[in-house]
Amino acid sequence: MDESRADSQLIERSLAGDAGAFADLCERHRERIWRVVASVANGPDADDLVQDAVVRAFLSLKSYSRSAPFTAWLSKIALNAAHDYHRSAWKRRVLLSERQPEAESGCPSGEVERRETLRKVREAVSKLPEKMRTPIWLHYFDDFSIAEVAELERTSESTVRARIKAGMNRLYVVLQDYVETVQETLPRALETKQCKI
Amino acid sequence: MQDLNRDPSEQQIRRLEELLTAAAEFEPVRPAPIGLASRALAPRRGRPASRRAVLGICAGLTLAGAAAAAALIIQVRIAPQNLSGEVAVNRGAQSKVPTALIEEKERTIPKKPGDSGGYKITDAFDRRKVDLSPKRRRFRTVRPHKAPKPVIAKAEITQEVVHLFETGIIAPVLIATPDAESGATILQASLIEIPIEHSELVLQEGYDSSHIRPVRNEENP
Repeated sequence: MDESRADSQLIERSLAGDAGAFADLCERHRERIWRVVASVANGPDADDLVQDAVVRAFLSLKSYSRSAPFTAWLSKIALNAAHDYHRSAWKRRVLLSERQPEAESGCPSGEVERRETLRKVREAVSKLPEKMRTPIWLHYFDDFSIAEVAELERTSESTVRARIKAGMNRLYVVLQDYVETVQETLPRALETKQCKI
Repeated sequence: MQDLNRDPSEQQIRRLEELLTAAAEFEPVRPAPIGLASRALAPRRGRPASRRAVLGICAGLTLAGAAAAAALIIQVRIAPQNLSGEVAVNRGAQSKVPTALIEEKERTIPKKPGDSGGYKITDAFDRRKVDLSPKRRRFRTVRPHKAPKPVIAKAEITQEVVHLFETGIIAPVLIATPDAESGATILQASLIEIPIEHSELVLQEGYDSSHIRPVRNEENP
């Protein structure tokens, strides 16, 4: 409750135009933004993407309706920034070298593969159209309820469910290979928490 | 062959949900950096006052120079060429009017036969279909001037076929062969048959030329 009260105060100050308060607010939720951004980018691009998401959020702060959770709203903006990063000319034209620092961390190669699989699943969700990716991301990855997502999207719960279903159908086409082997991947994927770096 | 348009079954959707639930546990390798949000929203530092002053002076000087140049160009363009010319205008009245202006006034535009005298669209510019790239054809205003057609430079080639004939003349020669190992030249006495060109073959009347055969090689088939 204290955290939400502190958030509310910071949101009030941010809405009044206090950029410092908004920066503090984003710092409090930096882990959530980082989890979104790290799913699609790495290295300096991820840092840039975080800053882009923060600036976007600050500029569109007036569109935030206080009935929806602030973290969900922030995640949505970070998700949109990540989606735009995918579509950016830089990403399309420049062949980025994929660094794999996991290999240096001491984790077995199998763990690295599973981590990469999970990252690709999140990346596939971030590439979905906006109406589908936000409900799926918030519901499955950030544990928001359908009602909270509907509040954020300013629509009905049934619409959110329909969008999730449509998104799942699309995701299945992309992730078909992973879904077929989920029985082998899933038990070990859950073990990756033990190998946290 | 599997139909891609078919919706996945309930079991496949459940597996996909399991995969998504597992992906929710994804943890980034690098921890979230601290201070990125503060840096993103930090006010940008302005230029120092001294630098602003220098930039202002430079900009002012540039503007003044540009204005002076423009004024000079305008003055040169509107100045008449012959200011002191005295010519008769309006029933011989004498007045000091620039000759260039009078000539411009009195000049009549020659009328073409069949010209009705109406307005005619100038052909200074022309709208033409310009093919910039595939599927992006646009009508652009272009100058009607056509560049001269490129002329392909032609080189005169003279083809000459040289026929060599065996003459049956055997001559002793020394064949010089360079030795690759020692670098010296090895001379070897030999006999070769001397071929001559057709033009050089002058036969006397009554000469039996049955033994003269053309040389068959790749250069002179």
